[in-house]
This record gives sequence, C-alpha cells and structure tokens, in this order.
Amino acid sequence: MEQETSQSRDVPYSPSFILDLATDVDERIRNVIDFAFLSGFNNPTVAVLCQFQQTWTGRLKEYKDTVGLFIFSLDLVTHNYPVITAVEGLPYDCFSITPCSTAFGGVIVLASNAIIYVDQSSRRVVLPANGWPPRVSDLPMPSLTSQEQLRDLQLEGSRSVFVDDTTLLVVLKDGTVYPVELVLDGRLVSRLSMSAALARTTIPAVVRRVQDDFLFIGSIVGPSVLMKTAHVEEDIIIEDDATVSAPAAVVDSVNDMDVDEEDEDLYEKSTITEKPSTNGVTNGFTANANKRTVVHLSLCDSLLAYGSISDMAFALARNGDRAVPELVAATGSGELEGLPTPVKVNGSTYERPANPFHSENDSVIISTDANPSPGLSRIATRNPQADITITTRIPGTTIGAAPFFQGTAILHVMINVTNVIRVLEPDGTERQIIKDIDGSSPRPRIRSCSICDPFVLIIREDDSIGLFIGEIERGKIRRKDMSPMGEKTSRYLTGCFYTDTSGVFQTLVNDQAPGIENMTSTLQGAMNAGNKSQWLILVRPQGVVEIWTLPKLTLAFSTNLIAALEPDPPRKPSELDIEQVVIAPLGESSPRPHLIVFLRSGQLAIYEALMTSPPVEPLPSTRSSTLLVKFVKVLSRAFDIQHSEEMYSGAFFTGDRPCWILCTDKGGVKVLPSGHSVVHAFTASSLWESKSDFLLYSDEGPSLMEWMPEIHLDDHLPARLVPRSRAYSNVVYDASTSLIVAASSLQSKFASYDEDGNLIWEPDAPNISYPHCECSTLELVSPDGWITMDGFEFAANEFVNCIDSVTLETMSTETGTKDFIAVGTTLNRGEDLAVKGAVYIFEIVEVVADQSTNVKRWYRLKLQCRDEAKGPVSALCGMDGYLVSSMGQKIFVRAFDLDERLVGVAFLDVGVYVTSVRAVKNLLVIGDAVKSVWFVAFQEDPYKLVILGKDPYYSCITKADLFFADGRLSIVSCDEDGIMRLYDYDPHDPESKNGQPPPSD
Amino acid sequence: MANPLAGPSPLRDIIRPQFHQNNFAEELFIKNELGIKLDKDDQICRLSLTATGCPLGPLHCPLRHTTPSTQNFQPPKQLPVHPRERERLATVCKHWLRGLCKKGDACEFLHEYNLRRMPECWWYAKYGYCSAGDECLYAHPKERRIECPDYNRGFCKLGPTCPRKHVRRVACQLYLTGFCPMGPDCSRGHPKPDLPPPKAYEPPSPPSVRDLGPPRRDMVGLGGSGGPPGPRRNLEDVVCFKCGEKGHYANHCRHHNHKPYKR
Repeated sequence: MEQETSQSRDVPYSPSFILDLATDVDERIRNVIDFAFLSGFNNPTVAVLCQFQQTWTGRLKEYKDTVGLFIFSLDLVTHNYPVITAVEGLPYDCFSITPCSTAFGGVIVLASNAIIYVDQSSRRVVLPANGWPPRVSDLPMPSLTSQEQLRDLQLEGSRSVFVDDTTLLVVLKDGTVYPVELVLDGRLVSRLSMSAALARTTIPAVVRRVQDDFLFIGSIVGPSVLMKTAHVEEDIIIEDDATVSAPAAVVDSVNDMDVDEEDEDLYEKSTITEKPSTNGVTNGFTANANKRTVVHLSLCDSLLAYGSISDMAFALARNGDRAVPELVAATGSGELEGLPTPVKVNGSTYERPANPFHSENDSVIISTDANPSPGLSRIATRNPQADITITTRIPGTTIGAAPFFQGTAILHVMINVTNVIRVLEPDGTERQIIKDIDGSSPRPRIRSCSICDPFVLIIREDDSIGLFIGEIERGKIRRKDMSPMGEKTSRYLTGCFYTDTSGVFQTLVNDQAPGIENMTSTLQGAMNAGNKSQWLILVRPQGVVEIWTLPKLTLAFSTNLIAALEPDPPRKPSELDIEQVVIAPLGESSPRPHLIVFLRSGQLAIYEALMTSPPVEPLPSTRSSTLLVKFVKVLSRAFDIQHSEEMYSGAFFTGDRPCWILCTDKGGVKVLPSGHSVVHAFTASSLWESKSDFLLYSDEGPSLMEWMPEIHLDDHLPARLVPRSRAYSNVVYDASTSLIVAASSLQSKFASYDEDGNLIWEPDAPNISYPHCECSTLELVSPDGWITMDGFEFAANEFVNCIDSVTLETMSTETGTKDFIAVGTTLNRGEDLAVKGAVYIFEIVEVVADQSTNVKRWYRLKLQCRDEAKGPVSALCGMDGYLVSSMGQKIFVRAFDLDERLVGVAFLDVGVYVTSVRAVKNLLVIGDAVKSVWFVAFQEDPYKLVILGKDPYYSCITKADLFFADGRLSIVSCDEDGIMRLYDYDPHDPESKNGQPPPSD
Repeated sequence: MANPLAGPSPLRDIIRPQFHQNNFAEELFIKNELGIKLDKDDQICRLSLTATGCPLGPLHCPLRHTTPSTQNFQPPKQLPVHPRERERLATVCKHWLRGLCKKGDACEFLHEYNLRRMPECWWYAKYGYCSAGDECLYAHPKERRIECPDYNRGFCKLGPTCPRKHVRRVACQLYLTGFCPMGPDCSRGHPKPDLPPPKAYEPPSPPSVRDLGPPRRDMVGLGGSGGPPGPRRNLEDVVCFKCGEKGHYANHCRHHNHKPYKR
C-alpha cells in the first residue's frame, strides 16, 4: 500500500491492475459486450453490458432478453467494487453503451432493433427502431403513433454520440444521422423520440465529440469527417398540428434526405473545404410550441481515405502515346463508397509527348544538354505566332541559367573553354560577360551554380566558390566581396540560395555587430522588405552546413550534425560528403521550407525548418525522412506548380532514380519516383501555355509533362479516386479489349420459397422487413471515362465469389485460344438448404456503337455458358487453355467445348473449402480454408491431377500463389491472421518420403 | 494503334504475364522422377531440343522451350485386342471416383475423370433420365443439338433465335485453297457453296447403342449404373452364394454360421 502511494506520486497515473469481473464484481458478468466509464461519480464508475446466457436468433423461444447491464464503481483504495445498478432482461441484440450526461445519469444502450435508455434506478425506456422489438423481447414497449409504426431502421453497426444533454445522434451503418431526443419529465427521462434523418455522412467506425461543438466521425472504409454542431434557436413554422404535438414524429423524411445527401456528398472535393456553414441541415426537433432548438450540422474537414481494398488488377493506361501499367483497386464498402482507385504504379503518368527541342525559353529560361551536339547552348523563344524558334546558338556548355533583374534579363553561367558568367537580353543577345579568371590564368571549371536574383553563386571543381551580385541600376553584375566569409581559401562542397517567403527564417539581431552597411542593400531586399529574406546555404567539406545572411554575409547558423546522418554502417569519410543541399518550400496550402540534403553515399534526407524560440537561430531538424536511393548526377530545382485549386510546391531530383519530393497538408513529406530510369535535366516551363508544365530530358529524350488532375498524393502511392455509386467486390482486366470487368456487391431482400414456389414467410407489418443477403451484378467498365458499357444481373440470392480473365480453347480464332471472363458464384438458399454455385463464361464482344454516345467502340458481355455446380464456386483460374474451378471441396479442370459448354476433364478432392487456385503453366497451387496449401501438377494426355505436396499443418489460407525468382519456385500463402508463409517444394527432404505424393486424406 | 500487349515487353509482364517459357528447377524432379508429363508433346518446341536450337528464341516462340519429361514423345500404347479389355480401359473406376480405389496405377479400370472420353449413359440417352444422377459413371450430355447448316454456310437469318447451334469457326485455309485432307474431321470451318440438304436440318439421331456405355439391354437387372430398376428375378430362382439354398440373396442370408470372420 505504502509502495503504491509512493509510486503514484512519481507517475501521474495509478498502477495497473486486473479486474476479474466475474469473481471480483458480480458473477453474472460474463461475455462482456461493451463497457463505458460514467462521469459524475466520486469514484470511477463503469457500466458493463454483458450476456450471461448466450443465445441467438434461432433460440429466442428458449432464451431471450439475455443481456444485462451492470454499473459498478471502482474503489481503488479498498479494492472494493460495489455494484450500483444491475439491470437484466435487455434484448439479446444489444451491442453498445453510451453514457448520458451527468444531469440525469443513466446510459443509452443500442440494440439492433431498439434504442434503450436505462437509468440508475433500473428503469428502462425503449424506443423501437422497427417492428421487431415486441417480437424478440418482453420489454414493455411504448405505444407508437401511426407514423412511428412506419419506421423501419436497422441499427446494426450504428454508433451514437450525445451532442448536448438531451440530444443523441445515431449514425447508422450507411452514414445516415438520426437525432434522438430524451424527453425529460422533471429529472427523469420519460421517453425517447426520434426525428427524421438529419444528414448523411460517412460509414462510422467511431463517433466522438471533440471539444464542445465538433463531432468527429471516423471511418475505416472511407473518408473520416469532422463536423461542427451548432445549436440554433428557431421559431417554429407550424405546418401541421400533429408534428408539433408529437415532437419526435418523423417529419417529411424523404425530401430532406435527398437534399442532405447532395449537400454532404463527400466526394465533391470542392464542397468539403469550402462550405463551412451553408450546408447546415435544418431539420431538428421541436422543443416547445413556439421555439425549438435546432441542431445544425456542418462539414468542417475530412480526411480522405479509401478503406479496405477488396480486389485489384493491373490495367493498361495511356500516358501520352506511351502505355503504362496502372493498378485498379476496388475499395470502400456499402452504398456510399464504391470506387475503383487507379493507383499509378510507376507514377510515370505526368508526361505529355515530347517536342523536338531540347532547349527553350519562355521569356526567361535556358537549358542545355551535352548531347546530341556537345557543347552547344541554344535559346528558344516563343514568338507571337505561338511557335517556338531557336533564336540564338551559343557554343559552350551551360551550367545554369535563370531570370535576372526582376525578369528583365537572363543570367547564364556556362563553360566555353573558360568559365563565363553572362548577362543576356531577353532575346538572347549578350549584355555583359564576366570571365572567371584569376589574374591571367583560368580558374578550374565551374561544377555547379546557384542563381537567385540578384545573387550568383558558382562552385568550382576545386571546391572554391565565387559570388556575384547584380546591380539593377546599371543592369550589370559584379563580383561580390567575400571578405566577411573569411579567407579566400575556404572550401565548400555545395551551396544554394534560399528565398524565404514563409517568415520561418528569422535571425536575432546581434547588437554587437558592426554598423550597418548601406551599400549592400539591394533592390530585391528593398522591394520585399519584411516578408522576403534571402539566405545563402553552404556546405563545408567536413559536412558543416552553414547558413549566411544576405546581403551582409554574416554567419547565421551552423551545424555539423548532418554529416552524422546515419552513423550505423561505417563508411569511408568521402561517402559522408554532402553532394547537394537545397532548401525548398514543400507543401500544399502553406509551403514550409525544407532542407533537402543529398549525400554522396546515396542518402537523401529532408528536414523541415521550424521556428524556435528567439535565442536560437532557425534549426532545421524536427521532421526527417531518409531513404536509400542512388543517384549519380544530381541537379535539383525547386518548382511551383498549379494544381487545379491547390498549389503544390516541391522539388524534383534528377539522376539515376529521379523522384518528386512533395508535401501535402495531411500526408506529410512524400518522395515519389517519377518513373523514368534516368532524368538528366528538369525545369518548370510555361512555354506551352499551360501554367503547370515541366520540361525534362530523360533517357527517352525530351518530354513535356503536366500535372495530372485529381491525383491524391496523401498516400504512399499516388492515387486517383473514381467515385462509383456502388461498391465492387472483384475487378479484373481484360487485356484483349482493354476493358475492366467488375462485380458490384449489393444487398437484396432475401425470401425463401418452398417446393411449390410459395413464399414461406413474408413481412406482415410495414415496419418488419425481409432479411438482407448479398447479391451481385457484373459490369463492363471502360477505363477511359469510367463508363459502364454493359452489365449482367445475377439472381437475387446469388453473389460473385471470383472473376478471372481466362484463356480457353475456341474454334473462333486463328490461334485456337481466346480470353473469356469466367465468374464463380454462390447461390444462397436459406438456412435449411446447402448453398449451390455456378460458373459463368462470358465473352466480351464488340458491337456497333450507338451514334449518339460519341464513343467509338462499344462492347457487350455475352453469356456463353452457365454451368451450375453442387457447391459454391469459390475460386477459379485459367490453366493452359483449361478452366480450373472449385466446387466446395473439389477442384475441377474443365475444357470449353464449342463455345457453349464446360466439359470436365479432371478432378481432385481437396480440403474443405477452397479459397484460392492459381496456376503457372501446369502447376497449380490450391489454398484451402482448413487444409492449408496444396501443390498439384496437371497432366494432359491422359488427364491427371497429381498432388505434389501439401502443407501438413492446418491453417486458414485466404490466398496462395506461386512465387519465383532466379529459376527457383516457392509458394507464398497468406492466412486469416495476416501471416504470410513461403513454402519450398523440396522432394529431397527426407520427411517428404522421397518426393512421393502424399496420400490424400 | 497496335496493341501494346502484343509482343513481349515489361508492360505485358505486369499486366498479362506469360509463363510458358519459365522453367523451374523443381520441374525436373516432377518430370523425371515422378514421371508426370507437365507439357504435352505438341506444346514442346521440338526445334529447341535440336542442336541448332529454335530460330525464334524463347522470347518469341509460342511453344515451350523446356526439358521434356521421360513420358514425352513415347510411341502410342498398343490397344488391347480383347474387346472386354478395351472396354475396361474406357470404364472409369467407380471406386477411384469416390477416392477409395486402393490399386492405384495397377487398377485395370480408368483412373481418369474425362467427360469427353466417358461413354454416354444408356439410360440417359434412352429416357433422358438416370436415377444415379451425378453419381453415374457415364456421361449425361446436357443437350443434343446439331450445328446450324445455314450458319456454317455463312449466314443464318434466324440469328440468336435459331434452335440449332451456331458455332463460330475460323475458315479452313486448306479447304478454301481447294482441298483439306482432314475432310469432315477438320475442326475449322468448311463452308459449302451449295444449299444444305433437308436432312441436315433434322435433329441428330440418338447415338447408336454400341457407343453407349453399359448397362445394355441384356445386362438390365444386373445392377449396372443404377438406372430404373429392371424386371426383378423371381426370388424362387435365386441361389444364395453363401449357403447355396434357393429363395434369397446372399445379403439376406440367415445362416449366420456362414460368416467366415466369426471364426
């Protein structure tokens, strides 16, 4: 005890302990469903929802109302846990607890069919959500008005939260928000009343009240939403007496719902951020006859997410005139968010076809290349007739060029025998030339340069630097005095300028410094005084990074920590050299400066610059991300690009593994490969009208790129969301027609029939509904424009398990084979009958396009064959011109005869429930839900399936596939718990009985 | 625009990979030690096995460049002379179908589930019904239609409503040139120039009894595949195999002392 209290003084929380609910609190607490802490008590108080006697829907005759609620307090000193309230006899389908406000105490219990308020004196107030509660429970039900009797809501998967003392918001599994009011009678809750739907948001996984008037609805299958709740008192407009007298009546639900859905459409990107209050929903509940408090919900922000991926397939996309692979994933769930998400695998989709020039100028920029005519620089301009001409050709290799003197001239650094720094007129004629010579002897060649109006930094191959400054009054440049930087022999590896517009870079004025030199103030500085400051970043060979102020050239910051970037593997000192350093603003809405350091060892580090407290100079540290990449030649540029509404700014790294460095508001700094194998030069260019173009010279020659619209960069792969009205369970790409076949997953009402075709049961009241079951449709989707060209509807009790594009034998083509779409389904027949299945073979046929649709080629799905099976067809694949499909616990190999029927040629009894089949050549890998992985060979002539090996241990495999590298073969499997296993086929292992196929069990 | 997936390319390796030229070390064991033909004879590129090699190279050759199994390129097996032996080779082992055959490769019956080679069920052909259902050892063809002679000539005005089969075939180049040595057995289309005879529109004749699998008429009542029960033998004529008495079958024999396992 003494020890515990002394411990509790050290740490701000009590020591952990384990509370065995059944032995320490109450023996009836078993099978806990949910628990919550209640506020307003002296001791911590817990409410536990549990089911002592378990039951299910089929046993309600024996056991019902099995759920109990226990409220007990935790006395941490005496370890005594007295039960304050024990309520039993709650419906068997209760699933969550929400504590109510301390004003009247109690908890709200959500059940699948009812909302129940339980107060501390065990009084239960029930609000039925549909007609089921009186049938499944003995709880006393309130009498319902005729309108309430029409209500038919399914509360499974719903979440609830209090927005004020008496208003509970229930978010249903489809995202619809219903307000429920606790009607008080004194300090007691007399009844609950539910109003019409308020709004529709995302599918909830968690709903929390943040601060007082914000609501966060987190989702695991879609975007998460932050909403603002506002309480507005409004005069009530009396439309209907009944509505007023019955405040919880369901008012005009249909119309409002439609409006809400449109207002809160989460995929309208523009509305998410820009409508803070206009889409408030004014459907509240009446508090009294004249005034009512209305809860306004408005969308504040959302975190974009695509939820779980149910299937994905590689598809072909066009990028300019080059075909690139694209990954199409079916994500999301429910009615709200079915969206194939094409993810750019290579990220190489930002380009546009090349132009024949490799040096151009859109008023300011020159670039050049040593290839194909080495040592020649060209200046290209766009003339008023909008064609591009090369106006000037200069012998010499350009190191760098930039606009100068506020864009009125061009500064050009090049090597033509000696180092030359030139100022050019906009048309390319020479205004001034400075030869970089020391006396009469030429200096070493310039390795790199950095130009930032009005400064020029050159770094020569002997690591010495030169600094020039432009005088705008004369329009010329001159050497800048570098005496403040120490003796001339200073060596620097690299350096760059940085123009800070964010205000992060601020120095503390040191009063001891010598007097202000007027002569060094520049026009640039004068023009942008206050919000813009220029800095020079230099790196010494020892790895010391220094930041110098401009134009005064005083040392503002210095660190040697960057050289110790990764101390782990010992490296040669030269490898720790910093190859290049750049400070660039990265970000989406408010770019912040980031220090990007590239080491000779191939490491790239990005530091975000943050402001620190005054005594210290800006410290670039906090956020860093490193990755191991290799570059040979590096040249980096900061760029600003226009991206529909938002502005991205980032950096591009050229070299062997070129990549974009970008930062988004919600995703942090990302390094995305550009998809080229090598990029020699890169620049932003507005020569071709559009504002956000980039010009780059890669191994494929020069190309002009533009930013793809609607690309989300928040995740590790750049993705584009294609909103669809339904969720898809499977996607497959048909390579021969470049179309996507997707199976959408829907809910349909399930009715079972007896042998004579009569309905066995049908709903007998308006608020009683049929059970739901899964059903599917097949859609033929064109990847350009994402239009659905054709569809196929399965039976209402049939859903798709698997789709594959399989190559089967046919007589209709020259090669004798053709790609067909094979679909395996499950036919659900209720609880009493075993499920069946079917295999469908579809052919994608081209038909004459409708002239009005403006689409050149039109396709349809043609059902060639339907083959019913005795068990569910849970997996299928193509193998060597045959179709391999599962039927329950059997595997069939079937041939497609005369384009009209499937003829079995081989079968094999495997496990219990086949979850996946995959084939490479004649080797087949079968994954089973119980019997793990089987490895099977298929022989034609005579037909035979031979078990080569199988996993002796049981595990529930969800997917198994072949995996090969270096001519060796292994089998990779993934099980229910997310464990991946790699198997080798090793017949020489002594335990494998000399490679003999194991006996089938 | 040419299909970018037509030739071998890194793009095709991602979107629609072809594996027929990938050979794995593990295959050699399967082929040589286990004696399994992983490739059919005509799937293997014979040129690649010669000393000069295949002129197309593995990248462009549609056939497999691989080491053949010991079972590949074997002369066809001699068919047994005796018709009963021959029949056995065409009969699927009913124990094997249930996974219960213990003879393995030594079994004289067929261990192969190939509906193409299975003889048609006599009951199904005659009555359109077989009580054995899916358990039957003989094939139950789903429907029997002839190919539409009009469609085979080039055009059928009935279109999809035609009761006959429309099978799309590539025209046989040899036939178009003048002569196809395969004749009617050729799987490619041989469009005839003249109008088809009226006989060609008639529904197909039921398969001859000889092509059908047992039970034949003479075998009715002996069990067979379990068609409709034939006329039962008079119990008076039945001789019990166990006790040798007439009047009952051995499975109803009441002479318990005949149970050999009780000794």
